[in-house]
Amino acid sequence: MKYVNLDDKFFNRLETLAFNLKSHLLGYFGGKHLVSTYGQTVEFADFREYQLGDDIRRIDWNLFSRFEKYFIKLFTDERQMHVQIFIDCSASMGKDNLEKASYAIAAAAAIGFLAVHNMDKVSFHLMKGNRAENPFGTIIGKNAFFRAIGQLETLEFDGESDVEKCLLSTETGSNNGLTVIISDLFTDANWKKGVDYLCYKKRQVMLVQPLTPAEIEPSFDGRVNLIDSESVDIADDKNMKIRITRSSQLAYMEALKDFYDDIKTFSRKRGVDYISISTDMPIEKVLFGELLKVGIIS
Amino acid sequence: MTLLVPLGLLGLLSLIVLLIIYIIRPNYQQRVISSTYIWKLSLKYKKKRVPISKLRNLLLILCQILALVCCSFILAQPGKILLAKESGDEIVIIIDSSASMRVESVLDEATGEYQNRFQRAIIDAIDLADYTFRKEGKVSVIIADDTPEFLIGSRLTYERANELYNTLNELAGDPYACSYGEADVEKALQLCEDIIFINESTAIHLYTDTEYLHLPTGVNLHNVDYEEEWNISILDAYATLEDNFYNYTIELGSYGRPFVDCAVMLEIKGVNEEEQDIRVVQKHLDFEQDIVYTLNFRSQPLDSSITVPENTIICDLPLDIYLYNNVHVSVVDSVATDPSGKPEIYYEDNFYEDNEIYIYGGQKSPLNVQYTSTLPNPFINAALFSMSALYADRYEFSISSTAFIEEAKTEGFDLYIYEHNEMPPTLPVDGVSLIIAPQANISGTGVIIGNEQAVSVAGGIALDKTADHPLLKGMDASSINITSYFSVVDYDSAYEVVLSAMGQPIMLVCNTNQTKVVYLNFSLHYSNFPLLIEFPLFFHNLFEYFFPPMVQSNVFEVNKGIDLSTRGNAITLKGFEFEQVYTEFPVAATVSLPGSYTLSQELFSGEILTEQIYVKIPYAEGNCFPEADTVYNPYANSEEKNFVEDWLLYFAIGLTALLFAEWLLHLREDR
Repeated sequence: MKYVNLDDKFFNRLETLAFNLKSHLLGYFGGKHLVSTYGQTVEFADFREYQLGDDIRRIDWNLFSRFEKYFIKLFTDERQMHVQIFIDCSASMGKDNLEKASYAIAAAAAIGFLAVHNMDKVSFHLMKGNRAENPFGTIIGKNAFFRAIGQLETLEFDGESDVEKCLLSTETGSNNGLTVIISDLFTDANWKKGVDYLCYKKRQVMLVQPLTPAEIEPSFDGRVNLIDSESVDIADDKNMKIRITRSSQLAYMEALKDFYDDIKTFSRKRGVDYISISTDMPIEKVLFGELLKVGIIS
Repeated sequence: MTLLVPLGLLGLLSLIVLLIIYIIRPNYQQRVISSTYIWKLSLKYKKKRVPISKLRNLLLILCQILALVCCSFILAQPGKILLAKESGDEIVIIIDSSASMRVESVLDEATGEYQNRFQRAIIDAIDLADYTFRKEGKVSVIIADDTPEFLIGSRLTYERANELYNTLNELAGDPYACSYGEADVEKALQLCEDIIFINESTAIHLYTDTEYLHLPTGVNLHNVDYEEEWNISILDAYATLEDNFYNYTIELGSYGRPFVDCAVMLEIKGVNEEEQDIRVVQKHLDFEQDIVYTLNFRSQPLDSSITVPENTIICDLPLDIYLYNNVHVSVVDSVATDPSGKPEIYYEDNFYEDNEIYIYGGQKSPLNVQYTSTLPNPFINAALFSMSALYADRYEFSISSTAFIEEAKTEGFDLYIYEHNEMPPTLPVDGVSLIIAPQANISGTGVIIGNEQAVSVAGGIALDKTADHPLLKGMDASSINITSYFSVVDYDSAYEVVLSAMGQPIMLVCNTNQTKVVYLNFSLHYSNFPLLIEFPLFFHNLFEYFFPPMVQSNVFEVNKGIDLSTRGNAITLKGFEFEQVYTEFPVAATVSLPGSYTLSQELFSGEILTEQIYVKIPYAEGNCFPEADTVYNPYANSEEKNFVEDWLLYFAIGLTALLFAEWLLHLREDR
C-alpha cells in the first residue's frame, strides 16, 4: 500500500537542510559533520607544537620565523554519522487510519534523505512485535536510499510492537549518531527503558509522535464500544465500552495532557528531542517548523 | 390511602414500556480507533472527578420509575377515606306526601274506612322502622310534602320508637296529613346527605306512587300504588273572553282504567245581568286512559277555518255569556241523577277531590274616572279610551267629563283628572288625582304652585328623569320637550320628584295611605308629550301603579304562591277554616287545601272590594300513576366532598419534583 507521495519535489526542498548533531559524537570517518576532534579538513582549528612523527608539511613556517619554534596547524575533523530510524509498525499507527502511517513514513523518509544528503549512513528499523527489522541494511548514498524508500511506501502496519524490546534488541553503535523513534507511544511497554539504553550508548535521540486530530480531540459521544485496532477480537481487553459525555471528553483531554507532560519531562531530563505532531499539519510545516524549532536540523 | 379509580393503576404498565425502552435503546455503537490507551487513562480522571456517576444513573432510573408510578396513582385518584363517624344499621324513610298519595282503594276492616296510599305507606314504614329498631339501628322519617322535614327528629334510636310510632299513627289518622300539593322528593333526599355523612351505610327507603326508571344505589323504592286504582281528574279549567263573550275550557284526564264513560257538568251562576243560573251537561264522554281531553264550551260557533286540535271536544253553551258570577265544573255520572234530576257527581274513582272545580273572574270591578278640564284635551280622552279597552277584562270603566269646575265632584271616583282648571278647593279623598298644568293651588295637597314660566330655548327643553319610578317604566324622559311649565314654590316631603327640567320639579308623585296624587306641572299644549308613545305608556303605568288587580288570575294550585297586590292597606284571604290578613306588599300567599277562597280589600274610598279565586290540586297530581326518570342522588356528593380527602395535589407536587430531579440528573450526566 502506498501511503505518501514521496516525489522529487518533496526531496528537492529538503536539500537545503542539514542535520545539526551534537559535536561530541565520534561517528565514522568520511562524513560531513564537524566534530570536536582534529582531522584533515581545510577548516583551521588550532596550532600545536611539532612533535616527532608529525608530517613536516604541516609545519607553519610563518610562525617559525617569528618564534623560532616549530608549530603545526590543526584542522577540524568531519565525521560520518549513523542515523537509525525506528518506525513503530503496530496497528495503532495505521491499520485502519492511514494518517499516522503516512506521516510516519514521510517523516522517516525526510530524515533519512537529510542523512544521506549529508553523507551519513541511514538504517530503517521497523518495529514489529518484539523485534526491529532492518530490511534495507545500512544505506549510504541516495541511490540506495531511494530504493529503500520505494519499498518503505508499501509498509504494512499491523499487530503490536514492544518499543522497549525492539530498541534493546537492536545493535546500535556508541556515540556515533542519531536515533529517531517514530511512534504514537500508545503502548504499555516501557519504551523509556529503551530510550535510556540509547542514551547510555550516547546516541542522540529524537522522539517523533504523530497523532491524528481525532486522538488529540475526540469528537464522538454517546454510548460507544471503542475497538482498539490492535485488539485480537471484540472481547479483547484492549476494547472498552464507555458512555462518552462532556465530562468523559474533558477527562480524556486531561489524560492526554498528562501523557504529553510525562514524555516532555522524561525527554528534557535526558536531552532527548521530542516533537508531537498532528497529522492534519502539513509535513513541510513539521520539517521546516517543528524540527527547526527543536534544533535537530538547521 | 384509597384509590377512587383503581383502574388507573393500569398506568403502571408504562413501567414495562420504560423497561422495553431501556432494552431496545440504541446499543453501544462500535468505533474502531487506533488505540484505547488514552481512553483507559482517562477513566482514572473521570472516576476521580465524578465518583457518583453510577449512583446518578441509578437515581435517574429511580426517578423515571417513581414518576411513572406517580402518574399512575394520579390516574387512580388517590385519597384518604375519612371514615364515617358511625356505622351500623341505619335507615331513612321518606314518605311521599303528594296529592296523588291520597288515592284510596283498600277498605280497612278495623275502622270500616278506606285506606289511601299515604296511610299504607305509614303502616309499611312503621314495620320497617320496628325491624330496624330491633337490630339496634337508627331510623329517620321524612314526610316529603312541599317543604320536607324530619318527623320528630333525625337518627332516632330505639328509645324513641314509641314516640315515632304514635306520631306516624296520628298522621295516618289525620285527613290533612297528606298534602294536596306536590312533593319535593329531591329536597327530602338532600336532607339525607347529613345522615349519610355520619353513617355512609345508611339506606334510604322511599315510599311513593311514582315509578322511577332509575334510582341511585342505596335508595330503595317502595311503590304503594295498586293496579286496580284509577282516577278521573279535572286537571284545569278557565274562562276566556272571545268577542266579549265567555268560553269555558276544561282539561280532563283519566288514569288507571282503560275506558271511562262519564259526563261533565257546568253550573253557571249569575249569568249576565239577569243573574240567572244555567246548567250545561255534556254526557257520555268516553275517556281513554292517559289522554288529556280538552272540552271547549262556547256559545259562538267555531270558525270553520280553525282546525280543532286532537282530543278536543267542542261543546255548546245555550246562550252568550258576558257576565257570570262563578262556574261550578264537575265530573258527573252520565246516567244517574238525584231526585231533582240533577246529575250526580262522580265518586266512583279512587280520588274524588279533583272531580270538581270552580271558575271565577266573570265579574269586573267598576273603575270610575272623572276628567275635568276647561279646555278638554283629546289626547287624554283617547288615552282613557285605550285604557278602558286594555283593562276590559279587569275593570268596568266609567268615564265622565266636565268643563266646569263647579260640576266636578271630589268623591265617588277612583281617578280624578284636573287640567287647566281653577282647581278644586280640596283634594278628593277617595281616589287618585292626576293634576295637569295646575293654574291654582289645591288645599291639602302639600304642593304650592307658582307662576307659569316660559322656556327661552327654541324647541323647548328636554325633561330629566330624577328617579326610577314605576310611573316612568319604559319611558324615555329625554324625548319629552316642554316650552312652558308651572314653577313649584314648595312641596311636601311625601312627594317624590320623578321628572324635572332645569332643576325645577315637573312631575311629582305622592302615594301614601292618605294622599295619592300625581302632579304634571306643564300644559300638554306646550309639550310634545301627547304626540309621543310615552303618553299612553304613562297612562298604562298610572293604572298599573295605582289600580293593580288583587290577583293576576282566578285559578291557583295548592302550595304555590298567590301574588297579591292591593289598592288599599290590606287584603284578607279567606277560605275553608282559613283566614289570613296581608299588610305587606307585594306578597305571595300560599294555601294548603284546595277549594274556593275569597280575597277582600278595603279601598282608599272605604269601599270593600272582593274577588274569588279557586285553588286546585296541581295539574300533575291528577295522574295517579306518575312516572319519572330518576331522583337526586344523595350519595354522590357526599362521596366526593365529604368522605374523601383528595391527595391528587400531593402526588402532583411529587411528580413535579421527580421530573425536575430527572431533568437535573440528565443535565449533569451530559456535562
